[in-house]
Amino acid sequence: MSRLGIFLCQCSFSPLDSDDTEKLLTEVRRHPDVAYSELHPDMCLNPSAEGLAGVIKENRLDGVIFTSCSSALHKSAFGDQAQAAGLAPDQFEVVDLGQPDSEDIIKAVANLAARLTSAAPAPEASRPIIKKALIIGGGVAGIQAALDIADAGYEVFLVERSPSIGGHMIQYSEVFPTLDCPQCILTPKMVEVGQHPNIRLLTYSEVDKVSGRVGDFSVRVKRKASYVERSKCTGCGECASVCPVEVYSEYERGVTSQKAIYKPFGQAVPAVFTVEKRGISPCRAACPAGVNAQGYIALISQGKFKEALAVVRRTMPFAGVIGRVCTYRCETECERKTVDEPMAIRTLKRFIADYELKAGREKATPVEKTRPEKVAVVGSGPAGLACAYDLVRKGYPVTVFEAMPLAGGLLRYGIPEYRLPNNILDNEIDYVRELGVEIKTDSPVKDLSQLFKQGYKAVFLGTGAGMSQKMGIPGEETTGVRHAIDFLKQVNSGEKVSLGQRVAVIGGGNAAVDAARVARRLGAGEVTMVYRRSREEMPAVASEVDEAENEGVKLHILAAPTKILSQSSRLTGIECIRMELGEPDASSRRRPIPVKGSEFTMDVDNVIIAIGQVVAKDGMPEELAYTERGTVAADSVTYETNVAGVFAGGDAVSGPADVIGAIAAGKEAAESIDRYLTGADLRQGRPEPRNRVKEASKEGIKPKPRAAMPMLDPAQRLKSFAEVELGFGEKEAVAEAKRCLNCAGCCECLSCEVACERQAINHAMVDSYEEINVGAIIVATGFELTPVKAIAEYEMDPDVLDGIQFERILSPGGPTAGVVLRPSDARTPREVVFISCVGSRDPEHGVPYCSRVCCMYLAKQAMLYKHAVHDGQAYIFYMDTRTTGKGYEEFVQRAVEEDGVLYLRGRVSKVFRDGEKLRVFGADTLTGKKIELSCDLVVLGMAIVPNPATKALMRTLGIKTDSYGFITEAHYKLRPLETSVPGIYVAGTAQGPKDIPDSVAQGSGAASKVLALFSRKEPVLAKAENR
Amino acid sequence: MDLSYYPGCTLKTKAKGLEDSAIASLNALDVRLVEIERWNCCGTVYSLAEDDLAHHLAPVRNLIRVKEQNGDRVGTLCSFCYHTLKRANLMVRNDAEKRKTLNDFMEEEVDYNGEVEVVHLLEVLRDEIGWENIAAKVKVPLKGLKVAPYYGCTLLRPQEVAIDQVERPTILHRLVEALGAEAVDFPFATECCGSFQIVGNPDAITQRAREILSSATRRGAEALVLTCPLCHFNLGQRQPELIQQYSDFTGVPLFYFTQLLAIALGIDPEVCHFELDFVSPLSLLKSKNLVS
Repeated sequence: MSRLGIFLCQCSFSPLDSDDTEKLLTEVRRHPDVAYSELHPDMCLNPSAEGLAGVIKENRLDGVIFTSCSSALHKSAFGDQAQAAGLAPDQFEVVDLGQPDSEDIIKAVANLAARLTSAAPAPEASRPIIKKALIIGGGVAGIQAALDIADAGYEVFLVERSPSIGGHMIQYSEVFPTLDCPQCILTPKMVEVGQHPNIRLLTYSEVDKVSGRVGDFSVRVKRKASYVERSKCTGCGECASVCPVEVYSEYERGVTSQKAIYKPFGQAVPAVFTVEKRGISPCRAACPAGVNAQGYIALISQGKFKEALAVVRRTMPFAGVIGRVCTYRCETECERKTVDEPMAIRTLKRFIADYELKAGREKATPVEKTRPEKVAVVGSGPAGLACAYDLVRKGYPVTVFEAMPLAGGLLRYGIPEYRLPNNILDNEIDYVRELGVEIKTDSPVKDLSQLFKQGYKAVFLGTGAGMSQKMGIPGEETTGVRHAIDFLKQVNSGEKVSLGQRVAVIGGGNAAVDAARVARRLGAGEVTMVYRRSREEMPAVASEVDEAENEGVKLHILAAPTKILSQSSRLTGIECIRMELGEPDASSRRRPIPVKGSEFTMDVDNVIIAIGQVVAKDGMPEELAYTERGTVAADSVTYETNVAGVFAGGDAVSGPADVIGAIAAGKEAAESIDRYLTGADLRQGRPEPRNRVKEASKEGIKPKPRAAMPMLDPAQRLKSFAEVELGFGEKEAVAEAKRCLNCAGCCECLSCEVACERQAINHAMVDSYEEINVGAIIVATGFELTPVKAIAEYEMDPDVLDGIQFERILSPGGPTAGVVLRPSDARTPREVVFISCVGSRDPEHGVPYCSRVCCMYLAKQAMLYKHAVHDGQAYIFYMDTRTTGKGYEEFVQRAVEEDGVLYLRGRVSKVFRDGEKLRVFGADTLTGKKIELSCDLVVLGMAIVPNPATKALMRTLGIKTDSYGFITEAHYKLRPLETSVPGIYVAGTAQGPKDIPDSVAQGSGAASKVLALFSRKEPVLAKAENR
Repeated sequence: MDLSYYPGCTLKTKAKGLEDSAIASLNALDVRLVEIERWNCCGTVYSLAEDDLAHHLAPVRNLIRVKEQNGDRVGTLCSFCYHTLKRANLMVRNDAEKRKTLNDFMEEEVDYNGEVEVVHLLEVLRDEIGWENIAAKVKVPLKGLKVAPYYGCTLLRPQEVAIDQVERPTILHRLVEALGAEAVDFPFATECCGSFQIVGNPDAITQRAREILSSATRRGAEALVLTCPLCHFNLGQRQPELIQQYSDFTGVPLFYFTQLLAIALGIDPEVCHFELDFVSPLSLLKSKNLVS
């Protein structure tokens, strides 16, 4: 049981009338703990008369509630009274009489009673104030605040989200009304911040977590990975000069781009470079082997073909092979497809391989053998060679055992030469050999245990799926029935193979298509592919099917053979049955169902069966486990088999699948073998997570069709096994590569690493966190402009700019070096229309308020435009011209009188492109006439809104914002620099739209608030705030 | 699905192509349009005069017909009919006093309190059938056809009756794309066609038509697609004069959205009544092999 006192304000300004107040008093008195209550006519005017403290003491109250019109204003005065009466900060409350509703007060009474009863109020420990300040936001307000506090001798942390301080102000050309340039007036201050002994500058950082209270805040700062060691970077820019990737420039606001490794602008503080990374590009994330497609494409776009090939070789040796036969999952994911068509990724990769081969490849330098453990790889197909390639580069002695006379596995014996010429394959196998991999051909492995006896410490099985599947229909053993895999092997080995005129190929996979196209080349006049589902379900690469048709292969879909027909053991034809599609099956393709009685026959001389391949088990150890499908059972992540030291991957494990999948498996197995041999955990951190970029920005990207693959004339094809796809030339490849959207930002080609003499670049850097302790915080997070695209009636166009973009064009340090040129065609705009209040004072677009500075900066921009283009004409559409600062009205008059800027009172309903001109529809409300203008450039004075990126920060800080997101002051008029949380202050446009002088004044003001706090003699008595 | 349907007068005469193609194509999409019985003129324009309640009798009476015939909503094709019915309906719903006066005046009718929902058939295509389902039923993809969607005003203004974003609508764009054609954006897509000014000031309409049509063709459009018989009339009827006056103007065919739908769904083009057009789209369609 506590003794509570209630002091109800009843002055003439109280929001409650006297009846309501009486009622409230009666209700409050019902609470059993209320020992004293009174209505007070002038509590705030004269609180010490008689002394509220005296009343509290006299009535031995241990808890007090004051009501007032504004707790923000009166809390401290009432608090002084309570403290004078010996009460601790948590023994009193000041409740706002905000709404004519008593609930808040009743609740406050109950809460206070409960709080005082539950635990005896422990006197709040006095805490020393930590005399360090945190400033969030490095714009002009934050810079001013930081310098003021630091100059007073206290330590300051300045946290800035972007890589440099300077804020929006440093983007401007010249600032009104004095027309001085921010580069001249702000950079000295920025440099001072950078060099001040009391300021610790934390750029490219964000406040992540805040706890504590006024005088003692604990703050966790996230220091985003910039991938450049700040201490080593000299800002020389060698890295950017070799970077092949252009990305959006926040500083230039998209008027020009910047490199993916960048210093935002010349005078940036700190003068260091930062790498923009957004994750893993969709193409790279989609590649089973993780080949860095964006990386080599970016280098191709710069004509750096050799470097591009090196990027592929970081992952695998088969640029030329995979550039021809890949199933290109990367292209399915390519973001460019949402603009027009996906990039020709596969062909670009092929191009760099062909380019090197044509120019003559230098012999590769063997990798030094640093590991003693010998590894055996069985099978020299893509899985085996990819595994050997990775192991040899890790320093292992690797021997590849191949049963056939030549290495390459399925690449050599399964894929016809018109798709993959032998010299391409030979070259890339030679490359693997030159690195130090020993390949023993004609060397079938009969017994795995022998390998271990010969001293091999680990074995990789990449033996493929080389046995053709049988169909299980009558007549399958008839002479004239061939199996695709054997047929292709014979042809590829150069054996003479003869076929009849009419050939049926059974199946719809890549082997079937290859067999059919080979059959045509061997002279078969009539080749028909018989496939049981529809064309959409064919597992073969769609373009291969198209080419087969171009070469005269016929498709017979929705049919399956039931019998092979023969006469006197000579094949005469096949009997087939028609199929229809039922529900989707396990492979999520629709299941074919035979149509009863729909049998028909086809007269053919040969049948080639290509319905699948299975794994041969010869030579494998008996204890090796297999799956139900007859493939080698291996772990899906580590590729371990059940036999110690034996790993397996590729078709032997997956069953017949694509080449890139086999390469991926070989690589993963190599990683496992390395871990196995070094005694590391096989699973840790696997599979490696791929942080795929979800979507790339496509703003301003113009459609440009994908480069078409030059093809051999179909009439020429059947005469030989000459390659059908001819590949890109240099010019085509560069142009195609330039279509890339660079989804990931930095492409990780690592060119910058090579260029940096100080070895400052570290692509493996990760975000780090830093804990700091401060006594006060100033929030100066600034503003943004609403995006132009939010105004649907104004067409998005390169020549429709927002105010800051035009600042860049006016700026002597901007992309046009201060020459006024319009972005679309770099011509001088002869007529420019400025539109103010775009989005502001416009509740329909969510901003009913005035943005305060647009009238002034548009007048300034019109003036600067006129100074640059003397014979140009500037128009300003306005609603009212608000010139409420010192010298402002005179400034606007100057624009009108001296520079002839034409002011048109009215709003603009439409902006759109009309040929070379932009057209503007508006009204002149002074004459009541419609206005239609043609001009060259439109500048929009977009609404000022709080920086949207700071929304989460406000929650972290626990400070109140208004419905637009601007920070709410402790009192609108009388405590404009304090937020709703004691110890946290606000400065600049984070509080509301304002100009530079006001922002700077607030910066100094907030700093002085902090200094006042720091200069208190006695320790601060602070009440814990609820966050 | 059955949908009560209010045709309005032009659909029985000059805009027969709009009605017949709509009935046929919606049938193909499994929507049966059931014409309400005893309908009368929609009132043609919404009366903005405060005391002109008599003007609202016509639209409200039509809504009463729907209610009597057990419909809870009514579909419209003509933009003006949609606009007038929809706004009158909102007035009945939101203004109790006017509602009472109207009901008292029409004492022979059942009381009406705004129970019926007024929809435009484009909304039904978008919200109930869905672009994907429409695309799946396309038999003759309108490949290679470049059409500029023209919205006019009454489908989009004022905000409370707008069937789409007011300033940058996309509903016709999406339809055109679902049918396999290319939608050509142009700045005059939401400008007024001149409406009833055609009666008193036909020359103003000629200039308006020229501006709208040439803006679309400058952006590469081969035809316009629209929803409103009055837009169709204003943009179509002035074309012979424009062709005569301007050597660079060669005529732009106009489609009702339902006509494109019918062609793409493989319905006999007879339902489109292209013979009523001032500039027949047939040669354009033939040049793209979309009709035989």
